[in-house]
Amino acid sequence: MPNIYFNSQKIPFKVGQSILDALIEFDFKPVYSCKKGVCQTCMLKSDSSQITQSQMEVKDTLKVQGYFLPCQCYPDSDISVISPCSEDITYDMQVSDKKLLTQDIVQLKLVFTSDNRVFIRAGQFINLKVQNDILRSYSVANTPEKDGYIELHIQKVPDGKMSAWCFEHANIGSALSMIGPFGKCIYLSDFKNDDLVLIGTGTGLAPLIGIINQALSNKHKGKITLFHGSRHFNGLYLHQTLKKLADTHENFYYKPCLSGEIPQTLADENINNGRVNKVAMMQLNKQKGDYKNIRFYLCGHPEMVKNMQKMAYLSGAILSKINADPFEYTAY
Amino acid sequence: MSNSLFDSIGGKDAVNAAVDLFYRKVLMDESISHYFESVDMEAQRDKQKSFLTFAFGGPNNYTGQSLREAHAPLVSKGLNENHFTAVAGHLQSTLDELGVPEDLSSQVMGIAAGTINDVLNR
Ligand SMILES: Cc1cc2nc3c(=O)[nH]c(=O)nc-3n(C[C@H](O)[C@H](O)[C@H](O)COP(=O)(O)OP(=O)(O)OC[C@H]3O[C@@H](n4cnc5c(N)ncnc54)[C@H](O)[C@@H]3O)c2cc1C
Ligand code: HEM
Ligand code: FES
Repeated sequence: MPNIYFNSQKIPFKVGQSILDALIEFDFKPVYSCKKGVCQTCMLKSDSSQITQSQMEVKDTLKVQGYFLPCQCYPDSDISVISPCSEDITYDMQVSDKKLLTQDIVQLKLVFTSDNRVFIRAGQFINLKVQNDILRSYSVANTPEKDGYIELHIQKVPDGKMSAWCFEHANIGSALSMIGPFGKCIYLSDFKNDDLVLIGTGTGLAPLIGIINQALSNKHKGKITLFHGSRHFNGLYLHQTLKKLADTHENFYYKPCLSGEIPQTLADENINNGRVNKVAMMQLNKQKGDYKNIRFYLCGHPEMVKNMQKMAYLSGAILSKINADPFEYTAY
Repeated sequence: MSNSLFDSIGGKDAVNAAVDLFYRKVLMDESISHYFESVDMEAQRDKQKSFLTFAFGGPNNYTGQSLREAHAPLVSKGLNENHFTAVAGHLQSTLDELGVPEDLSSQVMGIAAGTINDVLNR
């Protein structure tokens, strides 16, 4: 059996097993969240050539330093890996504001506690770390450069470690650290004339509202259409704000969607009935727009994101114009 | 592999023209689409570019052994001769849609057919 040398400790592993799974099996309690190569919380370092395949999603500045994703790394011979040097990539932060948006969604604002030069864009995600071993990804809902803080929207997850911390323990002044930013779900001023279609479920709205506000303040010329989906009305947590935004910007369209039943009391709210990806595809097909010219942003529930990505591509959309952030997670 | 087949078909431009046609076809075919779905669709699409470059007789570094390795995870998920036939069918119809002449397309299909034992790890 080949071995992983993890911070010099020897761990035998089965060929076909990921490094992350070997560390879990031998009770090294590695930090991780999604196991799908998306969240980047599991990052380790190595100088082995066996990591190349698991570096595809790692950004260039970290790649050259030997960072890779052990959940995506299946070595077939001995390999040495080490924990990341936290000074390289971790920034200290504190909570500067906390507000419940609904019973199940909390908004946190975070500020750096020391001078830093990290440039963070709306729509990217950062990895929050608390209690030394809980690390989870959250999307940036504003333009931090302009506002001077990072805004996050966090959904309560039953028995969820990080979301429980955010709801129960986080207070103004609470300390935490962050790694990042990551992700390519961003708006660039080159996109000014593109038609944007943004589709999100639940707190998948967070990166989308960040992108929308940035586009609008950039005087975006193309059409911007947001489809926000939830099961219950409560989950359309920015309904009033978005309605107002649509009233005041003639190129912004807001399409709320409920997959559950729509109560009579909401009859005047122009809510679409059905899953958000189905509603979006139906309306796009009806408009007979050319998918080639649309830039997509898809965030939230992994199945919705993957299905929508595939349907858009099959309808003629260009892959490099589909920005997708599935909120992947794994069972613990 | 002779490069003249690749050049006659139209080289890199032909691959670029073919890749979306081909990738959309396999994604729409319910009998095989699950093999080709992925979070990172761009990376998957690039793999299909490698596939087409190989089949068109273009410059590549693939050997029987590396084709085996690339498809081994799929074989363990049940990849069989029916799937192979389906992919070959989509390759053929891609070539037809692009108007590749019969004598060239039959050479491409010959290259693809020749890999069956490696692809299916037999
Ligand atoms: C790129 C990216 C961006 C993200 N952005 C955001 C964001 O902006 N806002 C946000 O609220 N979340 C976001 N997430 C999800 C977030 O990272 C965590 O997965 C989530 O908050 C749960 O963490 P937890 O520690 O509370 O639960 P955990 O302790 O990780 O999980 C507890 C249990 O709940 C299950 N579980 C976890 N998540 C879900 C779910 N969504 N539905 C059903 N069961 C679940 C787990 O399988 C586990 O069994 C993002 C994820 C990714 C990968
Ligand atoms: C017809 C003969 C075939 C040839 C010549 C061929 C060739 C290739 C090549 C060159 C690659 C790129 C490998 C890499 O760079 O990692 C590839 C990848 C792939 N092939 Fe094939 N292939 C064939 C048949 C099939 C069939 C029948 C299927 C499934 C139905 C299939 C599914 C895939 C998939 C899913 C990948 C990407 C794997 C990954 O994500 O790593 N191929 N193929
Ligand atoms: S990227 Fe490895 S656990 Fe998420």
